Amino acid sequence: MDCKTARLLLDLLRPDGQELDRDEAEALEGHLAVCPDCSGVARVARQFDRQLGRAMCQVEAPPSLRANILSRMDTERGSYYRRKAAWGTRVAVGLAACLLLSLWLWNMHVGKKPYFNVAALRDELFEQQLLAPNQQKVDEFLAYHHVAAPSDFNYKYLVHYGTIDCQGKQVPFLLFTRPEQDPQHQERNLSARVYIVSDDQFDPRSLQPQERTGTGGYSTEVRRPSDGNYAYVIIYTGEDPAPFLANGSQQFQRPQ
Amino acid sequence: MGLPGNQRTVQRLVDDYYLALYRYAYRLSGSAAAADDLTQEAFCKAQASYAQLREPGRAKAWLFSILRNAYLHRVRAEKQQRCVALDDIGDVPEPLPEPLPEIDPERLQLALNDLPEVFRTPLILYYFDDFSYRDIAEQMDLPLGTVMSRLARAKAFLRGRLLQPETPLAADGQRRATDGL
Repeated sequence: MDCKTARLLLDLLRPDGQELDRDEAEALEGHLAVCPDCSGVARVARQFDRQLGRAMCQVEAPPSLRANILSRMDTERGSYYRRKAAWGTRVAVGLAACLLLSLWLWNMHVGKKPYFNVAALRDELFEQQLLAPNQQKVDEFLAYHHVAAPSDFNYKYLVHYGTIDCQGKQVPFLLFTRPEQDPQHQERNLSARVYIVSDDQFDPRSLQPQERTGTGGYSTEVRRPSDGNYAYVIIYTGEDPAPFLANGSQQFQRPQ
Repeated sequence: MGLPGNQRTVQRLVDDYYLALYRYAYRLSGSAAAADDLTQEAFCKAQASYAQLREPGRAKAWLFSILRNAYLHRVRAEKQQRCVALDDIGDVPEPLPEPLPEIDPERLQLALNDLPEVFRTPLILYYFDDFSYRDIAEQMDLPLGTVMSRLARAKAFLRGRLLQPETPLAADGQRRATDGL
């Protein structure tokens, strides 16, 4: 080993000599044994290392250091748990708010039942009273809907008129009732309902005249006036509409 | 902040390493107050991230690494720029005088303060027990050759500063460590 290599290795040599591998360490020691210059440099370098190492570690720590460290760690730990608890609270509050909101929305839009309006029921009955038939009112009502009443009914038996929801459409409607003529069944009422259905509301092909058909105690007929784009759909009890038809005893004149 | 480590385990770390960590912090920062604070900060961070310590046998290196990061974060925030260029290091007297004068720890600190952190850290770790070149290289995330080169230059710098007559620069007792970061 030459002096240049030895000086280089001396720079890397730690006081404990463990940083060099065995061959390098032996070669260095062999060179130092025969080279007084390098040996002197090595001696001083090792002495410098030892002194520097001692000086480096001569740092006086404050007596309160350990207590200060533990105290600050305790504080941080407490702060951590407080933050954790606060976070948990925020999550719980958020979940509760979501739950309440969901319940409210469900109540508002899904689970809400209709409000029963007693006053509306009363007003409806009052309106039905106002709609009690008389000639002028029925004519005005039907003219407003651009239709005319069937002319062959006996309007003495007309008990109600108005519009009614019929398969999704509002249509003019007449209701006739009268007691059974058969003495054995006088406690029973007969009724006839007339729905005045416009071609504008339903397919006209389904509103073509039909002969009387009956089933389940009711009979139906479909009639059309000669000059109108609507049909009379008549449903009555029994097999014959005759009890409701006019035979000179009409209460008032039908519009022509 | 993650889940704190087991309180007893972390307290054992404090008992085992707080003095070494404080010395390291002091030599890095050059200030007792900063060293005190850095040591506390390092242990608090260790407590918070204890789960990241996969090898308990390397706890010391892990703590030193935490402290160095805390220190670097601090000096970057302070944007300290002053340091000496190692290229300006004067020639070391050869042969060195025998016997060598004792090294005054305060004068050593003044010399360390003038070293850039990238030279100061490996030097401090080198003279603290148990850190091999490889440990230092891992801790600083540097190639082994770079660590050895920096150590040789830093030691040469210290030899020049500590074995020459005291200079006016060294008499500045208030100087704090700077890093050129």
